[in-house]
Amino acid sequence: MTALTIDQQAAARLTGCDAAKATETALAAIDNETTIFSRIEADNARARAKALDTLAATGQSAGPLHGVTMAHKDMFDRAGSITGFGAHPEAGKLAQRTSTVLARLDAAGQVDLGRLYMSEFAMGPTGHNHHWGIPRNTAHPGAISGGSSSGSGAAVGAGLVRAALGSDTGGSIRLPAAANGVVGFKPTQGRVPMTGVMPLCFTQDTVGPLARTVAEARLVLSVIAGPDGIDPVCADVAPIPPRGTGVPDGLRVGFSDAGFLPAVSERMHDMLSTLRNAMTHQGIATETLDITDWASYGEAANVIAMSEAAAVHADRLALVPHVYGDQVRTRLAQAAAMPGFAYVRARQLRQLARKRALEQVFGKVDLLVIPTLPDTAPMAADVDIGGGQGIAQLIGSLVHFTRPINFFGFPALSLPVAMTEDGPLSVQVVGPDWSESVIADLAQWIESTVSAAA
Amino acid sequence: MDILAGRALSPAEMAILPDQAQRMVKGVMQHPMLRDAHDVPQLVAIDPDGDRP
Repeated sequence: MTALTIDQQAAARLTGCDAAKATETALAAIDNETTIFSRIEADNARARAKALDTLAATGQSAGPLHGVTMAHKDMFDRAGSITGFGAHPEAGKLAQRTSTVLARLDAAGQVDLGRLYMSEFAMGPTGHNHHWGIPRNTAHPGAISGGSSSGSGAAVGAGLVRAALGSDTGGSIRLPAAANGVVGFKPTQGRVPMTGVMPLCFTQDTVGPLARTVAEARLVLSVIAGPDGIDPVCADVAPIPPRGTGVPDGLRVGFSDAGFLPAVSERMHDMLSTLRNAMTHQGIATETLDITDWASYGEAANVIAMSEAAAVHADRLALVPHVYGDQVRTRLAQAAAMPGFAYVRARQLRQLARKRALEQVFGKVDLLVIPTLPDTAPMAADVDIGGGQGIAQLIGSLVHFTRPINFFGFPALSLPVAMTEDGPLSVQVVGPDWSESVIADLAQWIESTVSAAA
Repeated sequence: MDILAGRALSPAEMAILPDQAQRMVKGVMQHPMLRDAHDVPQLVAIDPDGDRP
């Protein structure tokens, strides 16, 4: 367990030249975490830490993550190592090159401890995995870990690492973050290069951090963001500053009216009201918006996601169908019954919906605050339905507040705002394309406000 | 259904899959925003990446 922040760890490792010692402590802490770590890569971590200590002994720092122990969802390639995808062992692949995101974290000084469990092929919002079970929920035992970055949420929630990478195509960073009471930062689609990252749905996939605090999530995102000259979708836009500067003057924040909040619990409603009142007290302008239409894009998002995912998996499904679990196979099979024109129309709808959201929401406010889940995370036993009846309804209810954001391609940060006897309550701060910095500024203010009130 | 070659759907899956897929397709094709958008035919000719940031 580490209580030191990333900044504190990096400073201590640098001045003490003790990355190797800290790595041994971290390896001992994760040794029995068999539901969270799918593979511990101790030899690599020790070699890396030793090299960092050698560097520190010369007075040099590798970067802002110098000697910081991390671990990541098992979908990022590292040359010479098997990427497992949270799938059946036969489905893993031996990577030839290291993914851009891991290479950037390495260059910044991380010590990568190993691979974290995830939903099979990053499909599944609960965290259940047909082959490997479900990581423990670290905030409310028995509840779902959330998915698909289930191990990332649990590893950060358990304090085993301060930050871990996840991916988000419909909520897969924000849902496990919310379930485990930590921060999850989904960037704008195209902010972080996907080179060497397992694809799921290429028009909605994003990579981002889950972290203990907003500041740490921002720092890690700033390290991995920016074009790499390989991923053609990754945009050359203004970089994210690694440190916040406070809430900007004149910020306008939107809150949804009841139309988009149909199943939200009373305590979540109360929390949203509390946050809004706090903002008003702080001089932040707020406005109520009608975003009811955001609930109507679920089918289009699903048609796009399943069509693209089926294209990714078609060959493997045909060659080795036995490696797929029931829920993933059932969801991919839906694509076989979706005509190509429906996919094209869904992409067209996305254009119209983005235009409307940019005009009618982000033409009026800078940021929007909405729940991440309707309430706390449900109990794992209540939502373990595999590929059976009700799967679409279950997934639809869990991703009600997260999937539209991927459909638009917007960035969003989920953070815990209250702890109840049933687990944490979390909200998202959502903004238009490339607004990650101001999102983090407001989220950090919310974090400090909530902390002060607790 | 070649995507599932080599492993048949279970009867339970066969019972729910077409219904779920049809509901999703219907949700797209009958979405009011598409129905109301007079410029939809023009969208067909637009760069397919135009819906991305």
